[in-house]
Amino acid sequence: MSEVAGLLHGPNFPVAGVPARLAFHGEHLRVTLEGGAFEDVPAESLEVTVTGFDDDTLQLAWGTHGHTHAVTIADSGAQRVLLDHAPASIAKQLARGHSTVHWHRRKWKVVIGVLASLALLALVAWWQSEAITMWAANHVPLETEISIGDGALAQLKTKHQLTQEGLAAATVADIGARLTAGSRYQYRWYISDDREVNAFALPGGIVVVNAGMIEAVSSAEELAGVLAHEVQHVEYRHTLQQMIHTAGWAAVLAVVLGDVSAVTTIVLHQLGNLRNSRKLEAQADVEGMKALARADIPLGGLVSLFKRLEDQQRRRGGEGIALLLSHPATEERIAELEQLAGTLRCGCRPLGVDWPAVQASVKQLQPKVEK
Amino acid sequence: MSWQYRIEGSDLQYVELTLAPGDSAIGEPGAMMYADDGVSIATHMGDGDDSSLGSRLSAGFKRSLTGENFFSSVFTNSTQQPLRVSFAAPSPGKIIAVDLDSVGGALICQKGAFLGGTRGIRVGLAFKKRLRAGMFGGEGFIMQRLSGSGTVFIHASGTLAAIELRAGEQLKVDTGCLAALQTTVNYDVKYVGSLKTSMVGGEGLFLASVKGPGTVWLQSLPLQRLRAAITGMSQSRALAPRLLYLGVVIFIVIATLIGKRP
Repeated sequence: MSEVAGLLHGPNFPVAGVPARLAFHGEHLRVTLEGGAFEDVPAESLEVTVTGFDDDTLQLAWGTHGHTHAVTIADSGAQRVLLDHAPASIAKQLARGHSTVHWHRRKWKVVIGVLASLALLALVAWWQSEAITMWAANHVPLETEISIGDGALAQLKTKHQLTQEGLAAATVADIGARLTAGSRYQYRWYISDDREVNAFALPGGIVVVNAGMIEAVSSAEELAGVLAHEVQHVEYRHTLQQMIHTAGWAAVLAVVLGDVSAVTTIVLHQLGNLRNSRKLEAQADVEGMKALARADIPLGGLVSLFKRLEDQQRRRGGEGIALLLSHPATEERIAELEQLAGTLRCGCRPLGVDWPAVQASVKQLQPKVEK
Repeated sequence: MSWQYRIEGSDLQYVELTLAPGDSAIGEPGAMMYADDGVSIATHMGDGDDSSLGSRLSAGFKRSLTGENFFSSVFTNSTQQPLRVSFAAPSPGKIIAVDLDSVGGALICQKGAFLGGTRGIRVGLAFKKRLRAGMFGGEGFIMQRLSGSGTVFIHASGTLAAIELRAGEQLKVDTGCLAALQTTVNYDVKYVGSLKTSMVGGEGLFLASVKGPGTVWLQSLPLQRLRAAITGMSQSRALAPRLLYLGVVIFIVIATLIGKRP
């Protein structure tokens, strides 16, 4: 039988306890002092508790003739040995005490471990934020995307008159249909009464072309270049990605607080202020050119439009052109577009649209009067 | 080896000890009141022993975490006759001497309690691992663990009571009054148990609870309470902490009510 060291406490001993050796013999715990055997205690009368400043000490207490005696075992190895040799009547109590001791020893490691892994997770999330937003954007159901787009469209309609009728809308829809053949989105094409030179796409396949854009563009091929680019923002869910990216924490917070309408508000507010990142713009450029090539539409439209608008802006000075604000026409970008146009195979034919007639048709669109 | 010493004064005390030839003692820098001319004074990083630089650095760091100085002063008698050195308590209170060998080689004290003792005694960190005891026990998470062999002088404010607890015997202690305890003593906090008592009884929400076997030393006037009494006389009581306390109490009431809902 293996003995372990402990301390014996009792009414006739110093308060710090006296060294004792402990071992289970059958159903008894034998306590031996330096001077010889002290007592054989029946195992079923032992009470097991956890004590010590660090909650790391096992205490076995028993009462005889109105006096309480106790032995304390601080050493972890000794506790283990005692546990392994305990008779069945006390084994369960001992095991529970030992696991409490174990837990107090371990819990701070657990706490620190959890905090460290949370920090690590946050770090990974920050490092991989682009991949995560892309993943999230790709897992938004189509219906949700469409309803977000519809919400934004409704908001837009309160400020501007949007139409799907007239020659301009028909021309845009025609060109658009060629560019988006085979898409999973059901596109809707709108002409807005806005005189700003701009065109933009909303999630779910809504493309809005401002009247100002129609007037600024000098040919249907230039318009096709713009449409091809905007359509890619829908196809690759760029708008959703940007929304998730910028609204991220605010949206998470709102959802946690249970305010879903707040999320909608945030999302709608952002639609007006979205700036796609340079990376997303480059993707839209490349894929837009490919779409033009597939649709056999001449590829030079976007470049010639950018060059002319840049020119205009330089001469005019002052206020910037909206399209150029959201699509910076750097030399680098134009060079890349031109280089790409050179490499793509295209059986391009002019669109043959009577462009002045289209431009004339938007003249009748009167800006909506602010109420 | 037992030391010759005497503690002088009633409430503002100092201890005078006699160093045998070749003997040395360590004390907190600034604690010395007087020493005989032949006593040499040296300052050491950490606990004033001859360990490696790294361990002295870490010992110094631990000391400063437990409210002591990064350095300790070592007083050595290198003459052939006994010499005196004395340490004074930094605030009103009592000095007690504890023979570490008689309490199992280690003692847990509140922060800043160590005044001086035999050279070789280490001032370590006793980290209270129970969250509630660390937060509400009045002693914080960090206490001092004095370990080694010899005599230590510890200081606490107010009057000190040494109470021996038998195995399993429990004592309720007002938070902040715990000055020192043996390592065998279990220390935790308990909720006062009645909202009325905690709000108007003046004992706070929690009481410390100590359980034997072992000795605990309790101080009658924790420094925070002395400070509150003095500053309370010099200026009107600030409103903000009381409001904060009220807020916490209301929060606990609401949490309790919610918890009791079937």
